[in-house]
Amino acid sequence: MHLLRVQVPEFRALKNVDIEFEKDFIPKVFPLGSQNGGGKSTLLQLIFVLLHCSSHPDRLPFLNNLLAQVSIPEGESHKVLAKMDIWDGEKVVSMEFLCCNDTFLESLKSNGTATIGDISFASPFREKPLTEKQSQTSGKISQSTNEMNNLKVITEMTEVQKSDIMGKKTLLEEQLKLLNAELEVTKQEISVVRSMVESLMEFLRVEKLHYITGSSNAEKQPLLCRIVGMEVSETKSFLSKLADKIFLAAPSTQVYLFLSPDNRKLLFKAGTVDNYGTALKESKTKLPGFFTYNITSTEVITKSFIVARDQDFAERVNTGRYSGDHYQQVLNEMKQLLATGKKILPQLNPKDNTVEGVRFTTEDGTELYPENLSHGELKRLGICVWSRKIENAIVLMDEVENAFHPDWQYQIVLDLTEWGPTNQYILATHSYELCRALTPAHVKDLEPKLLPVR
Amino acid sequence: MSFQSKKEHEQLIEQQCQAIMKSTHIRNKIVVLCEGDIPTPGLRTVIGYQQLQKRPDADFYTACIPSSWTQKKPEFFSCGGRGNVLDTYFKLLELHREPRSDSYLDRNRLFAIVDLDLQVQPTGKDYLFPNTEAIFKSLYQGTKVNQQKASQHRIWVTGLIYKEAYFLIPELQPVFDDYSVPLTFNSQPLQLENIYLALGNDMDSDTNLMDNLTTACERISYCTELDCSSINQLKSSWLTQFQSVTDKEQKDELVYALLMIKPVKKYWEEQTQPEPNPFNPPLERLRDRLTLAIGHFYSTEGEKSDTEHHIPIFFKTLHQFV
Ligand SMILES: Nc1ncnc2c1ncn2[C@@H]1O[C@H](COP(=O)(O)OP(=O)(O)OP(=O)(O)O)[C@@H](O)[C@H]1O
Ligand SMILES: [Mg+2]
Repeated sequence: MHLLRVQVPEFRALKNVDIEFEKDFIPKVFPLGSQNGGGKSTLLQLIFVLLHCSSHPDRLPFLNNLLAQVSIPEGESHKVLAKMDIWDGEKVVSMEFLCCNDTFLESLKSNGTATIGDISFASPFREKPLTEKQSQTSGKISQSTNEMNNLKVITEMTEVQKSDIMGKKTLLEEQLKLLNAELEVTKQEISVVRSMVESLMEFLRVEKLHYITGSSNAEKQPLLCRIVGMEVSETKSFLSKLADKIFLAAPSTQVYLFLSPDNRKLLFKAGTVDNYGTALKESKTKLPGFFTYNITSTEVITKSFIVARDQDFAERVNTGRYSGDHYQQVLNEMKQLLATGKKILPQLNPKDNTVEGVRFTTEDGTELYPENLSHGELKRLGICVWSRKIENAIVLMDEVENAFHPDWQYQIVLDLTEWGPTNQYILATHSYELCRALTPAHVKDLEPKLLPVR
Repeated sequence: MSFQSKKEHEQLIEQQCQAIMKSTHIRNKIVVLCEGDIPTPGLRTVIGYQQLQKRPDADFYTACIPSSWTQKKPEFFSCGGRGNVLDTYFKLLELHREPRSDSYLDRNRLFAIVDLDLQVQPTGKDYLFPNTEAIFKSLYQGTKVNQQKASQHRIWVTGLIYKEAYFLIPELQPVFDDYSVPLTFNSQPLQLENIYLALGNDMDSDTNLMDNLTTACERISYCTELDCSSINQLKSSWLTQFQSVTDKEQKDELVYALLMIKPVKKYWEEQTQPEPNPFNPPLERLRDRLTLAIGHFYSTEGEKSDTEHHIPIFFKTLHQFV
C-alpha cells in the first residue's frame, strides 16, 4: 500500500492541506515539515485513525473521540474530512471520508429517481431504546404470568379467600392484556424502525456510501466513506484490508486526539501523567498498529528473543538438530544497533529459565541496566524490532528524530528502508539532517503553497 | 579567479574557513572538503531543504558512506571550485598550525577530495605532491586504488575524470534497469554501453581532451592496446578494442580508461533522460534521486571487504582516522 495523496479541507489546525507522495520515489520515505503547531501530528493521527479504526467496531470509540469536535457548518449538508488516494499494488483507490446530516440525504433523494420512504440518520439509534422497552415488557409479562400460575383455588379455602384470589386473577388478566398490547405496539414500532434502517442502508448502498460510525453524535452526522467506482461491499472489504496496513509511531508524551477528552487532560495535571500512560497502554491493546517510542520498547526486544528461541526449539523438534541460528541472528542484529562497545543479552528468570527481559553489558562484561542505555539507543532498538514485522504498509512516524544525534537522524532513513524495505514512511519532523538522506523533492510542506503569480 | 581580486578571493576563503571551524557538528569528526556550490547559511531547516533547487553536491559523498558507519561519520563541506577547495584546505592547515580554542576542527582529521579533470592543478608548495596529476599517479594503479599508499593522502583526487563519471560505471547498469522511472539515452532505453560508444565517438570533437592529450594518455598507459599517437588514433583504437574484446575485465579496463579522460558531465546531465511522459518530474529532481540511488550502490559496496571501487576504498581509508 502507498498513500499517494491526502487532502484535508479543514480539521483543527489543518486548512487546505493537499500533499502528494509520489509512487516512484525511492526510497519511499517522505519527511513532512511545518512550524510548531502546523498540524503535522494532527494530520498523522487523522490518517491513522480513519484508516485503522473505520472497519473495526471495537476501535470506533477512538474514531469518535477524534471526530468529537467536528461539526458540519450551519446550513451545510456535509463536511469532507479527508480525501485519500491509495495505491493498492494494482490500482489507485480514491477514497473520501465525509460527515453528513439528514439534509444530505434529502439532497441525494431529490437528485435520484428511486422513490424512497422516510429515511434519517437517526433511525439506527431508535431501535435500541425500543428493544430495551420490548424486553422490559416481556419481563413484566412473564412475571405476571408466573404470578397467575401460582394463584390456585383449592377446596379447603374459605369463600372469602376464594373470591380474593379470583379478584387478583382478574386484575392480573387485565394487566397482561395491556402488557401484551403494549408489546405488540413496540414490536410493530421495531419493525417500522428496522425497515427504515433497511431503507437507509439500501439508499446508502445505492449511492455507494459506506456507513461507518454508530456513535452518539452519529445520530445527527455519521461518518461515511465513499470509494470511486466501488460498491459498498467492496469499500468495506478494502477498508478492512487497509486497516492492517496502516501504522502510527509517536512519542508517549504526546496529545492523542483519539483518546477521550478526560484521558487527554491527564497528561497535563500534576501527578496524573502515569495515568495517561495507563490510558495509552490500554489503547494500544485495541490498536495493533499503534506504537510509542519509550522504555517499554525493551518489552518488544524481549519478545523478539522469545520468538527466536521458540523458532530454534521448533527447528530442533522438526529436524532433530539445534542450531540456535535464530537466537544468534537476533543477538547480532541487536548488537549492531547499539553504540560501539555494548552487548545485549536476554535476561533469564533463574527459577524456570523463561526470558523475562534483556540485559546489556559493556564489551568487558560490566552489567548495564536498560536504564543505563541511552534514550536514543533504546529508541532505535525499539523501532528496529517494531518496523521489521511490518510489510507493504503505510507507516506514519511522528518526531522520529527526537533523542537522536544528527548522525542517527540521517541514519534513521537508511535504517527504516533496511528494516522494512517494502513500506512507505511518512515522517513528521524538524530535522534537516534527516532530510539530507533524501532529496529536496521528497520533503513535503504542510502549509499550502502560494498560488503562482499570474 | 579572474572576476575577483586576489584580496576578495582571500577574504572568501577566510570566511569559508571560519564557517567550517565554527560548525559545532564537526566536533571529533573527520572533515572532508569537496567541490560544489557553497551553501547559503541559515537554511538548515526542513522547509529550507525542501526549497533547494537541487541536492547539495557534498551530499552525494555522504550518501556513499558505507552503511555500517553510523556514528562519527565524516562531514563534507562544499567549497566551490577545485582551486577553492585546495586553497581552503591549506588555509585551514595554516590557521591550525597551533592548537586553537576557537575551532572545532581537528587538523589531523582534515581531508579534501577534488575532481581529477584534464587540466593539472598545482597544490600548495609544502604538500607531498606538487599537483593533482602527481596525486593521481601515486593513488591509483591502473583501474584500482593503490591501497598501500592510500593512507598517506590527505588530498584525494577522483580516479575518474569527474565525480560524475562515477555515475556511469558499468556496475551501475542494474541500478538504472531497476529504477522506478524508465530511463533513456538518445531515445533508447538506457544502456551504458551506448553511452560509452557515444563518448568514444566524440573523442575527436572534444577540444579539452585534444589540448590535454599527453596528460590523458599517461593516465591510461595501462591499456597497452590503445594508440595514443594522435586523438584520431586513440579514438579508433579505443573503438576497435571496445567493440572486439569479449572478456569482461578487459572491457571494464577500457571503460575506466575512457572515464578517466573523456569529459562526461554533458552526457550525464543532458542525455540521461526519463522516457518522455507528461507525468515525469523535472529533470533535476529525477537526477537528484538517481544520484541518491547511486550513492546507495557505493554505500552497499562499501560493506564488502574485497571491494575495489574507488569511493568505498576512500571511505575505508578515512575510517582509519575515526
Ligand atoms: N479545534 C482546533 N481548531 C484549530 N486548531 C486547533 C484545534 N485544536 C488544537 N488546535 C491547534 O492545532 C495545533 C496542533 O497541531 P499539531 O500538534 O498537529 O502540530 P505539529 O505540527 O505536530 O507541531 P509540533 O511540530 O510542535 O509537534 C496547535 O497549535 C493547537 O493549538
Ligand atoms: Mg507534533
